[in-house]
Amino acid sequence: MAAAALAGIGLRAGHVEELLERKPPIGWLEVHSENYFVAGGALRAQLERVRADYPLSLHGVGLSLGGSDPLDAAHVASLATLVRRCEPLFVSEHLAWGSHDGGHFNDLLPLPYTAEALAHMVNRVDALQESLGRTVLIENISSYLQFNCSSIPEWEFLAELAGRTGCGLLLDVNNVYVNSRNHGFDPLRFIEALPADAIREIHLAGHSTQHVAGQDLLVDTHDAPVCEAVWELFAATTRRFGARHTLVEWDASLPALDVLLGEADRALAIQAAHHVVAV
Amino acid sequence: MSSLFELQARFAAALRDDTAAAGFGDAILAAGIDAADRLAVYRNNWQVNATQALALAFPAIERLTGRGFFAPFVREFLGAHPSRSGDLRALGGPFPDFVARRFSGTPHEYLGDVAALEWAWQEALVAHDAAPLAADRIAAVPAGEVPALRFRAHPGTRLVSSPWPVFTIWRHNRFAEDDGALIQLDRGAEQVLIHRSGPGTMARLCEPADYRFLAALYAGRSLAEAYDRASATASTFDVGLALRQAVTDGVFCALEPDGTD
Repeated sequence: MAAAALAGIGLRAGHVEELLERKPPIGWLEVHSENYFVAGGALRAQLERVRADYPLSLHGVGLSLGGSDPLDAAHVASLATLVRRCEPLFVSEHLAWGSHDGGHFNDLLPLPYTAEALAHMVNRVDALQESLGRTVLIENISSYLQFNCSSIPEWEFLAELAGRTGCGLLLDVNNVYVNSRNHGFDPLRFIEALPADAIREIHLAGHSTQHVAGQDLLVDTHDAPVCEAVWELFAATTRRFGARHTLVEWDASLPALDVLLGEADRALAIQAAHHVVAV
Repeated sequence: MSSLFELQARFAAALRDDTAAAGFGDAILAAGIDAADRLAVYRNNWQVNATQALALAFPAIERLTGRGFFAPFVREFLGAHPSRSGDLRALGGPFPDFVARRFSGTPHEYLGDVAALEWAWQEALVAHDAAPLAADRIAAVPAGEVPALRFRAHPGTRLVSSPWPVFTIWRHNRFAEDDGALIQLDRGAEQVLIHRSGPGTMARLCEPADYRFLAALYAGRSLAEAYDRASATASTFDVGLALRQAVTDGVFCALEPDGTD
């Protein structure tokens, strides 16, 4: 695929009508799967219209893949229905958990990186891929704490998960940067450690900085432009892996559609300048 | 019990109850920021996400109660009704009853019915699609069998009745029709029909007799029974007109087979 088709944006409710009206030349779009867990109505009709004009990918945020409750069969069934209807480019979820004992936090909570958690994630990703009858992509998350019991570096955990399940990886470069700052590691080390053939998609987003106890804590707020350091890391990522489908996400304080399209253009320009061999 | 299960149980408990957060400190690498401060980021995400989801589903309640009230009110709600789904849309189900109980016996008692109307609207928005009942299906029924007809409501049809002017309150606050007008709470009851028009969802006020007619048909009563109820409310009730309007509005999707269909 030509690099020109590889930049996309996360489609949010506030932009849908304008996008359908203008039909800007963007390579693809991604939506949050759960937003379209609807039986019918205008939202469902709107997604059909979007899908008619753009390749679409489905990004889940609520499955609690890493949770210790049984995998939510109703949630998986809703996702499977949506996948059948949308025939998406990619289906992705997170290396995270979000519920316990039936109670959901509707957030991406970090896992301990242990052999036990890895075995658990392997089972869950296997089960999800089996249910959907396709490969899924798993995304690395931003985190604001580390567990004492973690014994495997995050990048090794991801590489091992991909190796054991055959899942793809959705590499969120902003999350790598956020974690490198929050937990003190070299982000390039993270990037270098991942298996190139597992990387199918890249996310870029903005974050914010909170000052806690005299220290900076970076929080993945998706409410700002991609920062310069993350653009630089994206360039390094592109040199390492070649051009991959790259998505700019913006969820809160949603800017004008053109601002988001401008960020996607910048991602395209970096891909064009830095990728050596498009895979 | 696995250590993953135990860790997640303790994490969940520490998020729900900040007094439990200190006890979770031994599981977290301090690295300059203590466990309570790190957990606070997640607790804030959880509560803000829930608040935004409920504000999206209940914009009139958020506007009427004010943001300063709404956010802590949602935290109270989460304590009583934790989210049971990875789909945040489901969070709103128990909210109207929670609002009703909170404001019962206060001058803001009407808020429970506004919340019920907002949730009915949310349900209708995402209900199954179905082709509306065509008028010629009724026209094809022999005249003698018409009184016994029963109708299947369209999945996107909802009926809401309140002793307060709930439609007027909702419309002004949901769609920000802020013309500065004050709504008199004692202006009386309002009945609302929510219905589908193609993929779109509409809402309109109903006259009391019209509402009784629709509510009877919605509950599965025959056309004759629905007519009797509506006529008892208003002797001038025009059943032909009311039925034509309901069919035009897509209130029904089929004739019930135990009728004449």
